[in-house]
Amino acid sequence: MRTVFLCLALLFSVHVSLWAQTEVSIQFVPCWKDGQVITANQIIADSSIDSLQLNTMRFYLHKVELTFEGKQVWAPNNEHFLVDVMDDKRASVQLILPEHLKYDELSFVVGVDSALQVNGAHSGVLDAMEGMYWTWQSGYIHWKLEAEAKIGGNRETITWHVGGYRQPFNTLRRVSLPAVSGRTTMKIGIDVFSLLAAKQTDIDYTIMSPTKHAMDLADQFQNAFRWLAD
Amino acid sequence: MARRLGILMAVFGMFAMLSMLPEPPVRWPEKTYVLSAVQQDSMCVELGRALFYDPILSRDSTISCASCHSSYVAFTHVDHKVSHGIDDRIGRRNAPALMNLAWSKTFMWDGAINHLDMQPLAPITNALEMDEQLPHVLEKLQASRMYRRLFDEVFGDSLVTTERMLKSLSAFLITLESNRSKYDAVQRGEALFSEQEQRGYQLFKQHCNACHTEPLFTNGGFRSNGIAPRGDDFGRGEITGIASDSGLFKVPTLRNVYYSRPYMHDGRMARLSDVMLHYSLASFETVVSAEMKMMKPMNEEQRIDLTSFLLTLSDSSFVFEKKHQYPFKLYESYSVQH
Repeated sequence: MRTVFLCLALLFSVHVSLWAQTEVSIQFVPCWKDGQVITANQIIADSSIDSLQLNTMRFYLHKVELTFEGKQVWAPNNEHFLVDVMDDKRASVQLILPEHLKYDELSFVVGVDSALQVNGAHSGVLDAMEGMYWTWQSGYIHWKLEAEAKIGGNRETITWHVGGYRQPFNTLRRVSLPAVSGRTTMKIGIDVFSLLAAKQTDIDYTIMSPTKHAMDLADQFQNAFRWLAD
Repeated sequence: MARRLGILMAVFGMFAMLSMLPEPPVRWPEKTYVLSAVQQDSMCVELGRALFYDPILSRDSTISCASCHSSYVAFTHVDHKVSHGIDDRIGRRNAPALMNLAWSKTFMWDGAINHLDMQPLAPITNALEMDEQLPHVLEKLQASRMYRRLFDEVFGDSLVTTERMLKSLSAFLITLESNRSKYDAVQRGEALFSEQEQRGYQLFKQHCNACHTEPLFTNGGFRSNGIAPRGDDFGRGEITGIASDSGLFKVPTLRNVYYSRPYMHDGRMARLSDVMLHYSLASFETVVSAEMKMMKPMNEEQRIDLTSFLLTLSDSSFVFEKKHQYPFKLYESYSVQH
């Protein structure tokens, strides 16, 4: 009887350890050169820009994946998250991972899955009420950045609403970052300076439809994510 | 020899008889919109109907969907080249007729909308039409006793959400099926075309069917209609960003075409005879599709025959269907006072 009990206890502990989970929180923050975090209402001014005040930065992400040595080790479902870096309550994404999972890369797709763009009305973070859905034509805004700036002495209103799920202007992009397993909190910066710097040769401060400009900007946004120290 | 001749005559007779049989009916394709269980509930349809006719969807509660889509003219805006919206603002396109929407894959003249559920968001938020904001619409509906009751009855609680509102509107719009015209009766073997209508039908198949394909009388595609552009309306090209799509507009259904005047994306043709004349000349002001390049000029007699056939697409039972009209009783029984 005692042996049976021990066996059951052993099985139970193995089961528990196999299914033990840990929550990992990934916080997204806007940042400037050298990882300087931009806070709400902060006005950035330096040698590269007269002034910049970031008002909005929101984006969808989905298809979160963790890989180890090139092989996928975790990809739970196709849940969509809406991240608002200017709102503390919506700036983080929580992932429930198997405990002791080893991974060396984190990746996710910025935007809303193409299949969900063509099958009608949705609720939750995909509710059109979130202000991330174009009404003049069907399609979600994958990410938006709105800011007031003074550049080279000129006042500019930056309105970048980047979306598009069909070719030739599919602006969905997968972001991949090297990752260290075992951490429960992570902070990812989105380098606003790199977005502006990349646009300096061909400045278009208003992008609100799927176009070649939106494609270029989506490429820049894909490369604007970087790890920051907690 | 006589036996061989007899067999030959029998075979010939069989072919002759076969050629006299009526053509097989044109089959309807599969619907593209799949209704959920809730949407099939008649109360959901009624809720959608209430929303369709209610100006509460507009900023100042003056414009409803029905303002530009009147049931008695196949849900278009009769005698208006382009619709006028809130504060008498003038839009830029002719309100399209609404019917058989369960088969549509795209909506609007430029196909900007990819799903029926999302269609109402365009006119609700368009500054020239209803000029309203979605959060405010939901707020107004939530504050309405009538809508709280209706949403509760349909969805099990009174919460008004975007998804519920849009799916209810779709539930009503899907009921706008037109398939009881004389053409349909002929297809079902319940009626015969007159000789003139039959001649028109043959002309239709020769000249029009490639784009206005039976039985929906649209192939759902985008084509140049051969008329010179006015203003800065580039149609489909505005949506796809592809240069070759510039000047293309959605092929409208010809069902109920008698009721749905004026014609063309900008409503520039007031009468069906204007449209007949435009296409019968087969001389177009713009680059047109391969199908239209194949068109041959038609004389007046042929135009009359073709028009005669097009009139067989009129479905008066659809146009005058009570279930599609203003829901007096519903508003009364659920309190007109929102």
